[in-house]
Amino acid sequence: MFKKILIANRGEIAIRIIRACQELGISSVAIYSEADAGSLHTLMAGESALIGPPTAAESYLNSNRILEVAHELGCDAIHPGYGFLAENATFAQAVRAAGLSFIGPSAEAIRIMGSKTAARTAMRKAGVPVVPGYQDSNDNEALLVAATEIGYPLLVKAIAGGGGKGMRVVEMASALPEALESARREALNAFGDDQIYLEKYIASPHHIEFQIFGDDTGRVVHLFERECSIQRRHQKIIEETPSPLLNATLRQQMGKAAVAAAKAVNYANAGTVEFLVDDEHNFYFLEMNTRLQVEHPITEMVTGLDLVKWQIRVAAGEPLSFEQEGLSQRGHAIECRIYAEDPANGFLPDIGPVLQAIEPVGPGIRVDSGITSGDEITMHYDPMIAKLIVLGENRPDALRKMKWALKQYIILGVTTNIPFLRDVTTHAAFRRGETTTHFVEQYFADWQSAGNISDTALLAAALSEMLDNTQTNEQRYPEAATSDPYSPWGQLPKFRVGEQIGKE
Amino acid sequence: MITEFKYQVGDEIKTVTIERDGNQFQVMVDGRVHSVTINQLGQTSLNLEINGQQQQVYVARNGSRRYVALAGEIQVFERVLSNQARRQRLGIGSAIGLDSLAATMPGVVLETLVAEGDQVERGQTLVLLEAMKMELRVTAPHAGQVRKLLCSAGQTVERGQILVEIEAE
Repeated sequence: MFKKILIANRGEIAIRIIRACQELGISSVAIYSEADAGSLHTLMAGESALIGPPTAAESYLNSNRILEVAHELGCDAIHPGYGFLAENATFAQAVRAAGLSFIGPSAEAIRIMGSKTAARTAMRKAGVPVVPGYQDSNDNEALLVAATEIGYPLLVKAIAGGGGKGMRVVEMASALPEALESARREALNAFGDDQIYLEKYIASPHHIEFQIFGDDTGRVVHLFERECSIQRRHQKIIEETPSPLLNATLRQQMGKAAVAAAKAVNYANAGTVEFLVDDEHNFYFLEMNTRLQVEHPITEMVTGLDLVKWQIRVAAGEPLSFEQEGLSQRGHAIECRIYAEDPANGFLPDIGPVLQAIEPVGPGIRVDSGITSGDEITMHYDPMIAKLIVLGENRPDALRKMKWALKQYIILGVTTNIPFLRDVTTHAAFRRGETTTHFVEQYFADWQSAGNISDTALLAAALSEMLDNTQTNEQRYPEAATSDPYSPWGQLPKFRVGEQIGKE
Repeated sequence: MITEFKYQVGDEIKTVTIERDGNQFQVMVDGRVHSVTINQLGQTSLNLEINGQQQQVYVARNGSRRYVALAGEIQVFERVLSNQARRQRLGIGSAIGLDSLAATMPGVVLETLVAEGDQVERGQTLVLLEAMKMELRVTAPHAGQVRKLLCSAGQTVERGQILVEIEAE
């Protein structure tokens, strides 16, 4: 087993991995940029190291510097988390070439699945159904001809893409040239690669993915599905398992296809095979994510397995201790991604100080958070600040629990999507399980927060200010009253947490 | 002793007056009287009993801004000091039909797509911004003429910085 793992990431996922290391008795090293000095993940790890300026390219993406730190501090493995270097084949290779373990799949598997077109080719060969599309050329003339054959609407997607970046929905031929150009520009900015391809647009699709896990002995199992249809700007915001759409037969077919997809690239460690499922229950391979997913906790909740600990064990050469036949889903889990953003204003990210963060706790409630009171949300990184996960006996029970937990989740100082998530998860269509990727635009395009300011809010603000003003040091500690401005007694705090007022 | 606080909610100024009688507070908001008991007071949390109903409330302050969390809703408003309230009542209205479009978040200007004097349609993209690795479009809220273009490609802009001014026909 490893002695010391460097976590090449930040925020909630770095903390999630540090926890797994601590449970396994492995030392952990956090890295951070100048913008993240003193943030939660750096404090939790056994050691932490500054790696560079705020810009990701100079910090969390700076593979040379990260390897240097790993050597200096005597690490024997690197966990990349998700995002940043997690799906960078060159980095995976460099880590292993430096004599360290990369906690993830082979560079070859990352490379094939990282190219959407190479992945489509590999999947076709393995007999896994793929969405009809065109990937043979990047020439505008050829793309226009192919687009006519596929038919409109269609999708323009970046070959190196992910997270909806470099992706455009095109409704008609006349809009294609502009879409090609802007998709290329965005792809070049985001991934340093402006190649694009075309894909048939599946109407009202469900986005359903399968967690797979492989080990070095060649065994691959699937850990069932995650329904990820609720998205905004092509990014997931709510995930659940089991999917309300799947029946036992479809689940078995898709699970089998997911395992075949992983085996086609000799996959070891945790991975996710994403599918689009249409209303007629046809499913198509969309892509494979060769890393731990943001939404992995819901799988952990229903299977009882700790995916991060298994990632570490498998990377250290241990075989999986479970087989497909022994795995089942117990209960119903839902995850809401908490973003510092304003759903009433185009989901624009918000930045600023976290004046207060209070997380819900209780049976079946899990919060994976990267922030705490006093932290600053900066413009440098992804605005996802935490994940709220619940496990219920069944879907209605999980929905009740989520509603309760969202109500108890308080973040003051930055705008978050918590009220929006509450309205989505309590919406009648969501409760009926009618989740498609168009859900948000269909039902929540003009969503506004309640907005009205209540008497209670105003009087609470006023009371809190008044008590802050009246509870001067003089009244609280009359014995310490002094006119000397430099007296330490003048510095006494005004509050005591949890104190009873007016009962003395 | 009566203490008075003023808050700005939208265009309105709301007045809250508090009269304390030991553990009891008579609070008047816009003329409505509430009888309040404070069950517990923490650094940022208040457990209140208002007209007999218990409520857990969280309050935070940043400058003049007030944040209150109540039953899962976050309410945000501004504290107004009395001389400020007077100034705001006088008000300096913006010229009718002239819209100043500001950056909604800090970022970098990728491209400006219009020039001063251009006629623009409603919804037309005026400026492309990149922020948090996303491409954001600043679009015209109505048809009109570009009066001023106040940014250029490559420029770093702050949140709230005016990028374009357009005037309706």
